[in-house]
Amino acid sequence: MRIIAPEEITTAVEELAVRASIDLPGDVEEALACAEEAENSPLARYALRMLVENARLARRERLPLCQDTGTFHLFIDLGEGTALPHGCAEAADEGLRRATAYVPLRSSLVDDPLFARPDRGNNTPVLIHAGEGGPAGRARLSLMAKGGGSENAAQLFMLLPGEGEGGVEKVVLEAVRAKGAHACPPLIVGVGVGSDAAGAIEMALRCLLRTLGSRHPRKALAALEERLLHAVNATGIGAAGLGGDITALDVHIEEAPTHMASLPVGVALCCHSLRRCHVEV
Amino acid sequence: MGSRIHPPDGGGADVTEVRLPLTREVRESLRAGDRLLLTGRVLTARDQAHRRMIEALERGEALPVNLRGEVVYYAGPSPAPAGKPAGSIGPTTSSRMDPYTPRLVEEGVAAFIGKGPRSPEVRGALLEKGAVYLVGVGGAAALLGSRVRAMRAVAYDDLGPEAVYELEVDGFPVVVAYDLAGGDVFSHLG
Repeated sequence: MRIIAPEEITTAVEELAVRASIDLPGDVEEALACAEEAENSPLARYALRMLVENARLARRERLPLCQDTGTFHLFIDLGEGTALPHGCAEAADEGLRRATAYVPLRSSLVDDPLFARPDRGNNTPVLIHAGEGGPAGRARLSLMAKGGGSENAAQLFMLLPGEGEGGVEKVVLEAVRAKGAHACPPLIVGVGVGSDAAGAIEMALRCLLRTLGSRHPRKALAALEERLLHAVNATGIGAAGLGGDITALDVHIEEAPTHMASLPVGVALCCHSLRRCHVEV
Repeated sequence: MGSRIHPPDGGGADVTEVRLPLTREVRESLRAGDRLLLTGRVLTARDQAHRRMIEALERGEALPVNLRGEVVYYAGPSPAPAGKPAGSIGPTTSSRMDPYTPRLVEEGVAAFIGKGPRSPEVRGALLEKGAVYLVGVGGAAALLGSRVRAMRAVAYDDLGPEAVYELEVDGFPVVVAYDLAGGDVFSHLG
């Protein structure tokens, strides 16, 4: 059994946090450029053009893509024969402290959420989601930086089991109509179906790791993704909420077993600045 | 008011260059959907600064910065990298400031810059006092930061990114969201 060294985690998180913050992933940048081509509203096209320019400028000048440099999520997928060290969380936090000072990133996390809300100064803690499925003898580390404005648009719906895909479509559109314009569209919509309340939200978040344009391997879910994407774009919210044809760059669904009494549906709306990258250690 | 020029992005519509402060006459001339490039002074304030300002007003104290005729920008900048006047600085979600906004309108704010739609109460207060609401493109923060020539904290600097900063902007792109004729760029949202 190989135990990953804490220093490897620190170095990986530092490098990933810097890269995620300033270098928009290729699939996202391409989706924004395609949206600009497809958009018919001049104001929304103006906003999309600005976002494509913003991505180029951020990369060239090594500036944060967004002043809200976000809450950092680390997804660890362990491969066969690998394990995490004791002190993994502190190792990840140290990497984020270094990245925050280096770029520099805004410090966006506060303590004492109910009362004084003093700034923590370094963006820690990294929120860690550990699982399996990485390559044998290695671990895949994926980092995502998620802004507060779009996080505020997350919703959980506990549907009746019989509400089925019609129910899912209804609540996804409800979430988008209620909060989409505040969450920096064009959005990436993650939908977690099944598990329990916490699990549905977790799956919705994980959906955001998927490459834009990819479809779920199950045909029924792939078709639902397409249908939801079409329906979300038909709301007409448009880029920056200014009205237009492109409200979402993609919709992704993940599913998991659930209780016979339940149909939990978690909906995560991510802003267009979908900042994620990964590395293997 | 400033001159009509062709936008750098070739988007087709005109962009108007506007020098701040935004006089009543200029505010009257703006229409929802107009694209502006602002040059001059704006003051940042977001959640915590709003909370403190409203608490100060409730105690009968003066604000640490006179807001009469000023442009208030809902934003919390990332730190300036070495050798640059500012970091990334895009708008944050305006609706979180809705409960505080009518009171600040009474203090004489000329315009607010943020992102996304506002409450009916805010729209009413803006119309009544002759203030306009402008929006930036959320997430275009590196681009918007590159239009900031100087930045300094002028109040509540213990709040870090939530302090009140005075920004000198040059060609800062915004869209008119709520004008003084009742126009609303978000009317399609219903």
